[in-house]
Amino acid sequence: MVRLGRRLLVFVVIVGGFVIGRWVGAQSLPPGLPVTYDRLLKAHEEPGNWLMYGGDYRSHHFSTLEEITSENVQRLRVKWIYQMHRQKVETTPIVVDGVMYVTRPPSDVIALDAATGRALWTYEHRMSSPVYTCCGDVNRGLAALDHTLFLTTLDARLLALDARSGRVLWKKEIADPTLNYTATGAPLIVKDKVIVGIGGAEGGIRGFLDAYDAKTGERAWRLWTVPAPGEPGSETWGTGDAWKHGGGSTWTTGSFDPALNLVYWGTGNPGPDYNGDSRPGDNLYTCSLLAVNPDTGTMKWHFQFTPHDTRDWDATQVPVLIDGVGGRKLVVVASRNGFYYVLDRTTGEFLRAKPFAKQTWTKEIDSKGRPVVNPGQEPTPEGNESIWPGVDGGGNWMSPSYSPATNLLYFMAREERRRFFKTDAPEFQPGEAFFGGGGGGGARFRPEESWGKLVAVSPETGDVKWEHRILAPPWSGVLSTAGNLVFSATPSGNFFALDARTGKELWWFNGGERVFASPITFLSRGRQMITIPIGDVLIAFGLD
Amino acid sequence: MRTLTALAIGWITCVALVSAQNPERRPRPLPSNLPETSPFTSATDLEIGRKLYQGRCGHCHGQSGEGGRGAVLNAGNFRRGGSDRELFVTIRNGIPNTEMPGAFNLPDIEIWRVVGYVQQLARQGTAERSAGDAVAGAMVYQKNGCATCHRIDAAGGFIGPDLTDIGAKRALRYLRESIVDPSADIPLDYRLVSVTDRRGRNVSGIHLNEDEYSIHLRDIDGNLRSFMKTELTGITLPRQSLMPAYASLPPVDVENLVAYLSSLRPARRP
Repeated sequence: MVRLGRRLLVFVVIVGGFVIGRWVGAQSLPPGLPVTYDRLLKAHEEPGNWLMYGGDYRSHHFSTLEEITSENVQRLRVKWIYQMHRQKVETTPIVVDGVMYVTRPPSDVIALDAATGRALWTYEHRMSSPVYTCCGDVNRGLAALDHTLFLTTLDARLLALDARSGRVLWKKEIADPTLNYTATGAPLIVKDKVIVGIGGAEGGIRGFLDAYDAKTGERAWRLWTVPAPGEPGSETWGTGDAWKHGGGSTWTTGSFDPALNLVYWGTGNPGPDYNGDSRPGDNLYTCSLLAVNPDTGTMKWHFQFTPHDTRDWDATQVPVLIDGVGGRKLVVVASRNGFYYVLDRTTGEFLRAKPFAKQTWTKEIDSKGRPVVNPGQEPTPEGNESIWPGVDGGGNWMSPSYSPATNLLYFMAREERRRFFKTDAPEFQPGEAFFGGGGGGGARFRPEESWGKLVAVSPETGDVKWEHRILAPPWSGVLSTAGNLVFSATPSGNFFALDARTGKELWWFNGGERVFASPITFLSRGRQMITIPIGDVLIAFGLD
Repeated sequence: MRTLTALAIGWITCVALVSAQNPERRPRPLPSNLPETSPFTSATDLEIGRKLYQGRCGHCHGQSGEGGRGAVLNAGNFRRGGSDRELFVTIRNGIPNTEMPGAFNLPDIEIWRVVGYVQQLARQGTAERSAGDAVAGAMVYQKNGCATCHRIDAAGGFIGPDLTDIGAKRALRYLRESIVDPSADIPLDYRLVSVTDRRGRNVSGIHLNEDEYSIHLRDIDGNLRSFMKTELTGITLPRQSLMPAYASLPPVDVENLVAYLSSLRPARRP
């Protein structure tokens, strides 16, 4: 009996210790997994987390958290800093119940304790080969489903990582990186599929959008964004082989409407970028927004913002889904070509466009959404300095934000002058650019000839409600919150907060280096935190 | 002991790896098999090179290589070496601490084509020679107090650009223009800025830095000044050089001064 009692005591101690240990562990760092598809569908109902690139499937990049408000934002302080030791950090982290999963260039993943910024595990990606990249060794983030994180890599791989350990579960080649394919965007989970875009239009790729089975990594479908001869849209490429290197990359994460079962994804510029001689026609489906069935990869509709682009004006801006008056389902885009577009997201019907930045290239956008192009707005051999916006556009990939609290859409805009020139059409070369000219020449202009602004517009009309001017064209996205705040950052390294209703500046912090990323917010141990990468560090802010 | 040794080796390895993870901000690496001479020298290559040059290089170096803000390229004298390989490296990486940028993202084949065209320009040997007297120009430099603001080697001020190697950097016509009309092209590092504070006091100087909230300048006495924009009622960036125009200088003095400045090249020093 005594022996049995001792055994029982040992059993109770062991089991009790295990239970208490689990409970204590859960209190200090909740597991938070799995991230089910149902949770992703209701991501906007989990303001304590940031479950996907755009915040939710509508890409609102908005949070209902309201601990930090326009009344107390002056008390915002640095809580922790995580050193990346990398250049050009463009990542948007995801946060799941106290754990932040963040990427760093070129294609690494770190799990951080969101309360302290301390690393829990690190996955360092080994590149399979040297890769041509136009614009830095960047990565913009991850997707999560169940216990798995999904990562695209600079050498055009798609990886599934165990979110608990960083262990690689499977790895698939999206495309051949030696042919200038690269992947930099955060994937989008839809049901049981991982939807990924591709980069490399500056290197002469033929673009596509892919979907992979989340469990096995097997490719479910591929939608080519540049049609082969005989396919719909191929008549917009002339009769030559231009389509083979026609660009149309898909390097920024799209949005998803579960009710319509449509994914909305933007496409990049045609190639060669600045010399369109070899590709007469509109060059579908480049510089377009595509509405795609996520189950089959079939395109329901497309809308092309810039037909036959020769100024590198990708349409890879984040499409934001909003519901208009009367419940009309809309998708809005602040395009690189300088116009704000409102489309019916059920049909793709063009509703309106308004310029939000200085533009010289088109007289107007007609009733069908097609630009009436002005003469003399093409790159020239001697260089054309009369074109606005510049090569980096009026808008770009940086995340916009829609606040249901103010019914305003916020985005960063670039007012910039550049010099576009044209050279002979290049031959495709593995490992080399495929430009046919250039859109640089920024050094020719004085810095004060370019500037930036955070714009607040009425999303249905594009009417500007207010603007907040900054010194230089920005590369930062926007976060809005129910605390009546809008956050963004400047190329000077200033992270700032504005009153969401009026645009009045309320707070700023000098981070000391250029910002190439978007802020997010979440809860850590019950307190609201805001993070943004500034230079090569990730900084977390919270109230005193 | 063996364990301690293993731990020590492991620690050192970790430190080394962490250090290796801090990339320097450096130009992209050169190809390992970079040839001494350009592999792309056909007439077609040169024609493509000419177009690339005109789009990317001609603004500073002159459309015929005659120089300007950038160095003269049609005389066959290259500070950083004139072999195909050396020109390739200079074009691809740029020249640190100068206004010459690297050829960001230009494919190697196109850089070689530009090299070919630059070599064609260099063979012209048509660089303009100054008609002035460099020794007399040195006297003009001294007499007009240029050293108050400009430095040559270790002597002179720092309000204006350093002229130590100016002859290798600028064409004669650019030097001439900079003397008689210095506002015609102002280097970005020497832009004039003028601020007015709430008491109506004006401070002018060289624009050093600026963000949304603050601005920094070096005033004409050489003092570093910092202002919060909330303290200011006005900021102007006049397109005017801090250097006075010497348009009234006798033409012979201008030419002599141009000859003197043009003689200021690295080669004259040991």
